[in-house]
Amino acid sequence: MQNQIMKRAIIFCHILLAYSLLSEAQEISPYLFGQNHWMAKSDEGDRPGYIHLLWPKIQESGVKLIRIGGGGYEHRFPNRVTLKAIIDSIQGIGAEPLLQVPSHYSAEEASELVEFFNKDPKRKPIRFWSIGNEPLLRVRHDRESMLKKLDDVYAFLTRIAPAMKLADPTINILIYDGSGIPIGNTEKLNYEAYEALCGGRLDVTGKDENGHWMIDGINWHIYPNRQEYDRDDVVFSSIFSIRKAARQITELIEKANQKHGRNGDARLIWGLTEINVNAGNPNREVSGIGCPSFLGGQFIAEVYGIGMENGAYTVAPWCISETDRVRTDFGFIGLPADFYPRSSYYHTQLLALHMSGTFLHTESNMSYVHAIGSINDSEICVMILNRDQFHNYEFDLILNKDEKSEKPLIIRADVGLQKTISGSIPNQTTQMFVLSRSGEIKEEYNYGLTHNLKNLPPEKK
Amino acid sequence: MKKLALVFFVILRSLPWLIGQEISPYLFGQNFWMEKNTERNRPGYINILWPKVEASGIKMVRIGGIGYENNFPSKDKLAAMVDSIRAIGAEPLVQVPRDISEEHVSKLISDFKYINGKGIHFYSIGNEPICNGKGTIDDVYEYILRLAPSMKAVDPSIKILVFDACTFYGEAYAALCGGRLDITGKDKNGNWMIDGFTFHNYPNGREYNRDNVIFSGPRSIASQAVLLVEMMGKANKKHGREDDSKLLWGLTEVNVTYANPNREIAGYGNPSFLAGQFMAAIYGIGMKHGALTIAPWCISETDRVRTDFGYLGMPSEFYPRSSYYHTQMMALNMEGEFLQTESNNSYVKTIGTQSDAVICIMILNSDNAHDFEFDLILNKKGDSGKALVVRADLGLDQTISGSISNQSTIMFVLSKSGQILKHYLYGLEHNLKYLPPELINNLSNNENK
Repeated sequence: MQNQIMKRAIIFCHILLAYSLLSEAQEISPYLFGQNHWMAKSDEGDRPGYIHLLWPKIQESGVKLIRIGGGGYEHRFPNRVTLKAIIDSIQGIGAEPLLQVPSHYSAEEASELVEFFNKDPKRKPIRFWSIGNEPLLRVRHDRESMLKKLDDVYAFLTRIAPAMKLADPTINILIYDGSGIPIGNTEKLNYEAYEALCGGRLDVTGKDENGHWMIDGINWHIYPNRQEYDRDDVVFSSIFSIRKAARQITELIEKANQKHGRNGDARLIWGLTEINVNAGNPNREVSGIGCPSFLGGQFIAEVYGIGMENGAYTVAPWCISETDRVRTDFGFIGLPADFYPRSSYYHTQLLALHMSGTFLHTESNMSYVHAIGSINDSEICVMILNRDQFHNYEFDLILNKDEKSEKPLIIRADVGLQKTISGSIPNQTTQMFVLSRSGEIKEEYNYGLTHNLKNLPPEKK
Repeated sequence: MKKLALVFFVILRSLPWLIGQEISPYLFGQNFWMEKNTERNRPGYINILWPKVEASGIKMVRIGGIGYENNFPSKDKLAAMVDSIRAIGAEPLVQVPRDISEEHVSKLISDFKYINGKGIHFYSIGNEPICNGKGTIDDVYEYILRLAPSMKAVDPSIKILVFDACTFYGEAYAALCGGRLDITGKDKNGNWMIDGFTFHNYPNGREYNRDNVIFSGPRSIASQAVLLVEMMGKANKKHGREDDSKLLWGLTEVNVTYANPNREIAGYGNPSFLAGQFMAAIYGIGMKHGALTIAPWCISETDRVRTDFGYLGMPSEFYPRSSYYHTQMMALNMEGEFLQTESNNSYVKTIGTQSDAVICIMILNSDNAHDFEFDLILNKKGDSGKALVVRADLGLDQTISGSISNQSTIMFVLSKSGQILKHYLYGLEHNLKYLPPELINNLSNNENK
C-alpha cells in the first residue's frame, strides 16, 4: 500500500510537471518505458507464444508499464485465471499493467471487472485502464464511415467509462487506442477523430454524471510505414510524423484541460500504446530496415525520446515477442529457442536503466545523427544515435551553449558546463554517456550493428 | 530405371577425358533433419515440409548424422522415413550406427531389402568417428570390417559408403582407400566390402568473412574432392574395380559454417543469399568431379541461430532460402554432363551442364558491390570488350549479352543451338522479399554474331 501511495505520488508529480510551461524542463514519466503483453501461448488460436519463459528478460529490459491490449484481447478477453496470472507477472517484475476492457462490455461487466481487481484487499489495484482497440481500423479509409463509427466509439466510451469510475474513482482511463490513417505509404494521426473526442463534438474529457472525470488521457497507436518504404523513411519521415502527432495530441489535451478546468493531477495525460517501424514487417534482417533490425532499435529509442520531450506517460512498442511470422515479427525479443534480445530491446534497456529526471534538450549538426538527453539530480545522460549507413564520425559532445568545435559531428547539450567529450562513432552505432553533474564520464556504452549481428549486448567501456 | 542410370553414371564417370563428366542422378541431396523430438524436445517440422522438399528437386536424402548415430530409428519409424523419401522420388541413404551388432544390422538389411526400387539401396556406417581428436582410423577400420561384410552377405546389391568424417582427413582416407587399412577390396564372401567414400565439410568456423565463403571454402572442398578421386582411381586399379563396381564418393554434410553466426540474408551465414551461391558452387564441384551426391546439412533446423542450417526457413512460413532456390534451379535444369565454363572475374563463378537437349549455364555474381555487363560466349575464340566475360566452349558461334547485378545469380537454359529457352534471375533483392527466382523467357538483347 505504501508502495502504491509512493507511485501515486510519483505520477502526481509527473503529471503536475508534465503540463507546466513548455519552456520548463519536461519530467520523464516513471512509466515511460512500456511494452505490450503479446504474444502468450493460446492468445490467438494455435499460434505459439513464449512470454511465460521471458519474464526475467523483460524485467531486465527496464520496462515499467505493460499494456494488456490490442486486437487479440479485444476479441478474446482472457478469463480471470489467465488475466490474474498476467497481471501478477507484470506486477511481479515491478511494472504497472495497463488493462484494456473490451469495447463490447456492458457497464455492469466493466464495473465488475474493475471491482474484481481493485476491490480485493489482497491484490494490488490496477491503476491504468483503457477501453477498446483501434475501433476505426476497418473504416479508416473512408471518412464518412469513419465518422459514423466514431459515434459508436463515443457510445461505448460513455457507457463503460462512468461505470468503471464508479467502481473505482482512483483509476486512470485512457482512450481510445486509435490506429493511424493511411496516407500514401505512411500512416498519420487520425486527428479528426481525436479532436472530436478530446474537447470536440464528441467530447469525453469532462465529468460524468457521477462527478468523476470520464477519462484521464489519450492513447494512440502508430506504425508510420506501410508496404514500401526505405531507410530514410525510418530515419526521417517516420520520426517527423510521430513528433508532429505527439505535438498535436498535447495541443488537443491542453485545449481540453483549459475547457474543463482540469488542473494538477486532473490534467489529461497521453501515451503511445502501440508503435513500431511498420505494420507489415518485411524481413528479419538485422542490417535491414524492419522492426527486428538494428535501425528498428534506433527508431524505438527516437520514439522514447519524443515521449520524453512531450511528456508521454508511456511509450509502449508492439511488442514483447511475436516470432511465428515474418510479417508480424515485432518483438523486442527474438526467435526461440535463443530469444536473443534485439536492438529495440537493448535501446530500451539503455534508456530505461539510465534516463530519468527531466528531458534534456540536445542538438546535432548531422541529420543522420540524433541525440537524446536526460538530466536528474546526480546524472546527465546523453544517447547519440548514428543512423548513417556508411559514415563514421569524429565528434565533440559539448556541454554548454557557446563552445566551438572543428569536428564533423557536434552534439550539444547545454548544461552550463565548460566540458567537451570527444570521441568517434561508427556508422549504424549508438553510444551512450552517463555523466556526473560535473560532466565526468561515469559510464559509456557502445552498441552497433556489429554487436547486433553477433547477438551481443551493448559494450560498456 | 534409377539403378540403370546409376550404372551408366558409374561407367561414364570413369571416362571424363573421352566425354564430359556425367552428372549423378543423385547429385542433388539433402539431410533428413530435423524432425520433432528427434533430439529431446527440440521442435521439428519435416512432416509438413515434404511438398517443398519435393519441389526443390533433390534426389537423395541421407538419414544420418550424430542424432541418428546415437538414436537409430526403430524399424517402423525408419520405414516411415524411407517411405516419405521415396514418395518424393528421392533415394534414401541410411547410416547404420557404428556400434550396431552384426545380427541387428543383418536384420535391418533383410527388413529393408532393396527390391524393385523399394527398400534401401544406399547405406553408410557411422558418423564423424574421428572428429576433434576422438577415435582413430584403426577403430573405424575395425567396425567397418565387422559390419560391412555382414550387410553385404544379406544383400550384395546394396552400396556401402564410408566413413563420413567431419572433414577430409587425407591420411585416414588414404589408409582405407587402398592403403595400410585397405577396405576397397573384396570381403571373405567375395563381395566388395565397400562401394565408396563420403566426407563432410563445413569450411568455416566462428570467425570468417565473405571472401572465405566465396574463395577459400569452395577451394578447400574442391581440393579434397580431387585428392579423394585420385585415391579412388588408384584403389580401383589395384583391385580391378571397373564399370559399376568403381568406387563412388559423396559429400554428405556441407554448409558454409558449423557455427552459424546469424540469420542475415544479406550476410554470409548458412541462411544468407551468399550461402545459396556457395551451395551452388559445391554442387558444381560435385558435378565436375563425379560425385554420387552432395547433401547439404540440412532440410530444416530452425530452433537456434547457431545450428540454423536448413534450406527451408523459419516456421510458420518456412520460406525457402537462397540455398533452396539455388538447389532447385540446378536440380530442375542441370542434367547430362558437366560443361567446363570460365569467367574472367574471380567473384563471378559459373557452372555449366549439357545434355542431348539443352545447355545450362549458371552465372553467380558474389561481388558485394559491383554489377557487370557481360558476354556469355559459346565458343573458344569469340572476343568481348565487356567487363565480364563468361565462356563455354560449345563450338557455337553465339554470344549472349546481358548484365548481372551484384549478389545475383542468373541461369540460362539454352537449346543445343544456343537459343535461350529459359532465363532465371535470382538475387539478394528477391531473397529479402522471400521471392523465388524470376523466370524471364527471353533475353531482349540476345545477339547472334
